[in-house]
Amino acid sequence: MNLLNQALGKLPNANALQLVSEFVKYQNVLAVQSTERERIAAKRAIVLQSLANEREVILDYFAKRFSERANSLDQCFSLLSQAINDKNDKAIDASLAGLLGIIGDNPLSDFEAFKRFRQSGEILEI
Amino acid sequence: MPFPIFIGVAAAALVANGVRKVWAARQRYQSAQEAYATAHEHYKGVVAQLEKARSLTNMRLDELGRKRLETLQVLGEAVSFLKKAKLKERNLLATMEIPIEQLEAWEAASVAASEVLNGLTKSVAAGAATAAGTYALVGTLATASTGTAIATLSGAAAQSATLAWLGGGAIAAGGGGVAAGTAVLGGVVAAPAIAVAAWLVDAKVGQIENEIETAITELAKDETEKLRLVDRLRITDARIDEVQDTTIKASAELRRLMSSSDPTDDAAAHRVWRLAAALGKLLEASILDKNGELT
Repeated sequence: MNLLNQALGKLPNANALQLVSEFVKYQNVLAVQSTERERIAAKRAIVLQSLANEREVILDYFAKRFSERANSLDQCFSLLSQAINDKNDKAIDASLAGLLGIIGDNPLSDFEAFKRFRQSGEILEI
Repeated sequence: MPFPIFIGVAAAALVANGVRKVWAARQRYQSAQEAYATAHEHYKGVVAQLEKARSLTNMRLDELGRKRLETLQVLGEAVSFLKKAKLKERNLLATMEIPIEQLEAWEAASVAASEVLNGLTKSVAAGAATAAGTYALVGTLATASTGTAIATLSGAAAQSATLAWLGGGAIAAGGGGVAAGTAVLGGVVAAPAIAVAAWLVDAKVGQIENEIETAITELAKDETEKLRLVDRLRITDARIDEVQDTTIKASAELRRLMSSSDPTDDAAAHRVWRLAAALGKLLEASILDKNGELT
């Protein structure tokens, strides 16, 4: 009923010209709303896709990083095990230094550099 | 009479068009509500996923704390081994650069760890000694996430309330208005007003649709933030596993070394000390810093 009253207010004399004017306004509002809706949805799609890509890169980076670290740790333990069997003190020290070095190294340490390179589009030299 | 008939037909067409628009607007409103409900269900799933990930990380930290207590017992065994070597009596502590305070600290920690693991001590205080920091920090992470959720949810609730108010009001007013307007005013005079009322309803529903699109976008953004937290927790899990596996393996190697070594052999005693010292450092390796960042 409110809207009908509002509509009656817009058309006090049921003027045909006024009706056309209201129709044009209505069409404009619809066009603006439709464009805005499409803009919101499109922007959302772009932002979400970008964030999904970023997540994928991060998870992939860390999966590889932890895998590399696990391999290095395995090698250190193989060396330690052999060194204990051989009573090789130098090899024991080297393997322990390797273990502590890996564990003491923050897995995030190279991530900022990786992100910077990725954003700049440069190719990392290996 | 053709002119009045034309007017009458035009008026009827306006009314029919108005009714059709209101009906279509109602359908669109319902579709928008359903879209929001679907998005919100998905959002709730992500919230549950975050909670589960947080719980798993806490369990892992708990397990790491327990393993570290067990490892402290192994360090206690190393102290016993080195005592048998009588390094102090033979003045070998300085030669081997073994600080006596370190051995005493391990011995005390080993006793405390045994008491905790055997249930002789209330585990809260002593158990927390090994993993207190990490527990607290994961809690912080979760609190931050809950904060975001609360903020977003209250936003969504407010949005829902607004939408309910806007949508219900608009549809009820529009639908009722058309029927009531037709009955009360009737005829040619009411037709343009009914048409304009229908356009207003249509435009109002369009506005609601936009608000719902925005609300869905906000939900999706917050979902992504939560999924990022899930990722961080998974990375933290990997770090916990790494530290735990290394500690367990090093601990096993120390035990193996002690079992095959003679305490009276200086070189063997020194090897035990070096491996024990490395194990002690592994026990000090932190997982998260005070800001909840991986270390």
